[in-house]
Amino acid sequence: MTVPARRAFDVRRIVVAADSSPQGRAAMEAAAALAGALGVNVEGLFVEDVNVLNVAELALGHQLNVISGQARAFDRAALECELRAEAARARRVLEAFALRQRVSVSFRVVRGRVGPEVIAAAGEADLLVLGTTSRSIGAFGRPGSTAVAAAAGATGSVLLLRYGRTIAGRALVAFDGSEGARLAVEAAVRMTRDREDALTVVLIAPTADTAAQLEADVRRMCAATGTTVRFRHIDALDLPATCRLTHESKADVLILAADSPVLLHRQHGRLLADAGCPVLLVR
Amino acid sequence: MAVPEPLPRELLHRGCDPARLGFRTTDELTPLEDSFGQSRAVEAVRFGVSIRHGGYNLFALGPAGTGKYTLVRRYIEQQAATEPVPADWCYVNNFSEPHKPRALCLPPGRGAPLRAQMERLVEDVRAAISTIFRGEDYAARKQAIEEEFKERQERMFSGLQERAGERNIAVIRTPVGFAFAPVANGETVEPDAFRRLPVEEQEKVKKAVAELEGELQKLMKQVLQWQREERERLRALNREVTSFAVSALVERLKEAYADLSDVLSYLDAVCTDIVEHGSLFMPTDAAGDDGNPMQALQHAFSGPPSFNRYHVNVIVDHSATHSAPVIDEFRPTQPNLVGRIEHVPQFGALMTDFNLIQPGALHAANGGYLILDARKLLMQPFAYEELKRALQSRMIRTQGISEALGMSSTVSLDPEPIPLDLKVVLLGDRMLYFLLSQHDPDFLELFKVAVDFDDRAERTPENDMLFARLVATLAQGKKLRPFAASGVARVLEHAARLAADAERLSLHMRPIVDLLCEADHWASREAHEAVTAEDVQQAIDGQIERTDRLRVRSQEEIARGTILIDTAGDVVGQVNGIAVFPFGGFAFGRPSRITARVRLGRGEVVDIEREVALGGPIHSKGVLILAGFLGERFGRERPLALSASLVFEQSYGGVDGDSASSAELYALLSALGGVPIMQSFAVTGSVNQRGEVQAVGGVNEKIEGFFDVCAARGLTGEQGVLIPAANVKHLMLRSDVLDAVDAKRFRIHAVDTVDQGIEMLTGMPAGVRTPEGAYPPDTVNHAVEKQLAAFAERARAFGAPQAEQKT
Repeated sequence: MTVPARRAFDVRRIVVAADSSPQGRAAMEAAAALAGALGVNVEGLFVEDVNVLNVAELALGHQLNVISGQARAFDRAALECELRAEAARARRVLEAFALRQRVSVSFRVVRGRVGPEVIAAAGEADLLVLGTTSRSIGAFGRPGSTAVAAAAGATGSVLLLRYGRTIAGRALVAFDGSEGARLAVEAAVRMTRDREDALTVVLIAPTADTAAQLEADVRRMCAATGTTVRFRHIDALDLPATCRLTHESKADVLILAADSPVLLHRQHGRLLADAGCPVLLVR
Repeated sequence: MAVPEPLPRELLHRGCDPARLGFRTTDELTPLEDSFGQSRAVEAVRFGVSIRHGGYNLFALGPAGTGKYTLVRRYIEQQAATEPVPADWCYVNNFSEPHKPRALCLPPGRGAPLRAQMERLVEDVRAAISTIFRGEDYAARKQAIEEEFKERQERMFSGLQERAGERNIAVIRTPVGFAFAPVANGETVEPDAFRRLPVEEQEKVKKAVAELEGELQKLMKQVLQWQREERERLRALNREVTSFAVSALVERLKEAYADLSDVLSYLDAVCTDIVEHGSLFMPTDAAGDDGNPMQALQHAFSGPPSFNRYHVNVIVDHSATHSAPVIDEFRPTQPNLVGRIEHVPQFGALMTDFNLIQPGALHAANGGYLILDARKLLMQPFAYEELKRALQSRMIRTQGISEALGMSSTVSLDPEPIPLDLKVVLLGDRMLYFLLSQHDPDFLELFKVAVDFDDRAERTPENDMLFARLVATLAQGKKLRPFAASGVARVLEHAARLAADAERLSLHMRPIVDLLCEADHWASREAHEAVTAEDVQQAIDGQIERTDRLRVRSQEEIARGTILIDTAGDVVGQVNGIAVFPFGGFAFGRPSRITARVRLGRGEVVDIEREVALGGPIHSKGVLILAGFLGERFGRERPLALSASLVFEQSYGGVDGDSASSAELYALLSALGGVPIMQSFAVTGSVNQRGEVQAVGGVNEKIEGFFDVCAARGLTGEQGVLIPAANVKHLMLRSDVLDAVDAKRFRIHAVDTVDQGIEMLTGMPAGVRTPEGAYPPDTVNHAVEKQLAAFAERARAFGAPQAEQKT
């Protein structure tokens, strides 16, 4: 009988969706930090939203300034200039973070629809990093469509950041013994390497014996690292329970396998809205 | 005229008989509790420290080394010990006007506890507020407010988006804001596709976009209003929970200060301020990121928030004081007196607050006594003026020099002045007192009590015993050996010599104390149990030996003939005068040759020293007196047709004083009469126009100076010194001089008049005018008058032809 080769959590290429908004900065900072920790390069991707350019060309109305509320007539040339300036700002920010982490950085500007472009880029990366929150008017912290689409549709791992939250603290990971969950634990261990009391593993097992086996598995995975692990046992895990555990344990990042049962029925949007912290979906 | 006999030894040195002192060593004596010889000063100090009216501050005046500080301090300490401990003073924040810190007065010893309790209060408030803000109740209430506003906005914007969606229009995010665009199948309509739409359709979309833009603008204004409202609701919530936590804690603290209304009002202000500034006490996550950006910046640079605004700066703490304070300020600068306001650099600017107010000596001495050296005070810029201002206003106003002068343009503090009630004692010399009295109109108003220290005391048997007890006291205080009676007697004799008076004792304590210490040193070298007269003498000799290099060199040059001094033979118009050279604490006498030359002239006596600006005014006065004497004695009948010149030979420095005027007159009379003067004598004494010889200073040093020259050449018994009779009471001569006098190898004559002196010096009678108006032949005065008559005749002969021509 042949035993299928186990995949390992291996990140060689990180792509970050770059923009100059606060949560864009948070995403770039986290991406650079991860690249530094994993010893890989980071690549910035800035999408010039073609919808915006179309609106400018339509010249139906005005731009309303987000701070002052003042209306200003559209000017396509000026708008393109503003987009280039925003890209340049984002590039400078990412380069500064990369320099601090001593990692190489590349930067790409593409024009198109933001969601599809970001998801396409995710297909080329082992890890896609982007902000969670929508930048639409009246979104008030709701997950953006791009974030939800990337969480659900990316082919690689996706890290979804939240403005004002760092991933350098405590991590919560769910482990049910599946291949995807094992990858998630590996990712969690690597992110919390050499830190005490930084990792909580939720063991999803119907019996105590199974939980003990899972715990032993995790301990083996952590053996070579200095990470200390706290375990919690739960019979079954659904989305509300996951979010509750995240809050209770004051986790700074939730790490799940992308094929986790928690995300059945494509509940990615709800997870991002209710988790209250950055989420790493491991594939 | 009777020539004075040489003075006997008894008149040359008034010794102290140890047997008369009545003790063996000073161990048998009770220490002197009171001061010696300063009864006037003591009474003044007692009066000054006890009178309780404004302006009765003290100025202790007298020469250095008279024990001013010791005496004043002792009496002030005695008085202070009977007076209550004054209040503690603190500076606290003035929350309504932070640049004007409040001064709080508390009973002694209660300032420091208030400081500690305020620190504890801040800690308690932090803990309480932290607990409240981290609690679920607070989080729930806060979240409820936030959710309420969030929902309002969501409802509004969702409504807008729905209304836009109904018209197939979407809200698009642009780099700087928002815009509306038509959509089809979830995507914005391409420009080309839009242009292909019928014009009516396009206009409809344009109209819808315009309406939605207007609506969005209204919404954004509304959102700003809601955000303000939300912040106010959150602030009110914070105030409510903070107030609940703080008021109970502050009320508990107020119970401890129920008797102090100022403290109570301060605590009320603290309570209000904490509620207003509750965010300072909140956990960082609860404070949120919507706070003051400068506060966030400050936090980033300087770490966690500081609670300095609630500190208590105790500037006067009498918790360990048992009576009224007695403070010495040895460096009375303006800041050291009235305090100073320190600054710390912060973000490149110098910042300050009430915690950086530092007290001065006036704060420390408030309610007690402050002792200052007047000279040091006057040498410090603005220190005396600030002291006067404080005493006049009876307030301590802490202010930097630059603020006081209006030179500072930066914001600084203006602390509330503190009431001042103290006595200041200035210590200084008499000249300083007189100068201040003369030139400072405020001085006598503020320093009404003059504590005048004497520098000498009468030498009576009672005072001799007091002096002995003083020696005992000083020896005990300095942990010296006891002094034997002989040692005390020698010290006492030395005190008389220091006073330059056989009938007085010097009250300069510093040289006396030095002598005692050095005598003790020599006694220890000799393993004496008690300090003897020999030890004291060795100390005196040692002091002289260490400082008499110039005297020795001067004597050497006389012995070698470089400086011309005759001590034998007779010379016309030449006499030995004696000058005194002070050198630090040591003075010595040295003979100087004085010569006079006369010629035909118009009656003037030329002082060569004055002509070359080497003579001082008193010396010039002495010379003019000589002219007066000559005119009175010899110029009544005919004009003085002489010109005389007088000079201190080989004198290259300045000459002042009139103590050589008798010597100059002797030289002049000798020159006029052609009568030689015996060079075996030296002369000192001033003279008046009536020919009376008057007392001079430094008579002991002068006699010893000429004695040393003669002794070096060999004493003949002919050598001696003529001194004014009025100086006999000042004689405290060295033992070797006394021995020479005893052996009739040196003599000292006291003269009352110039005639007595000239007879001594010339061996010729001075001569008294007969009833006929002439001096008898073979007298000095006769010879002088004869010469002056000859000058007058010659002058008349020279002047006659001219007079005839005129007529």
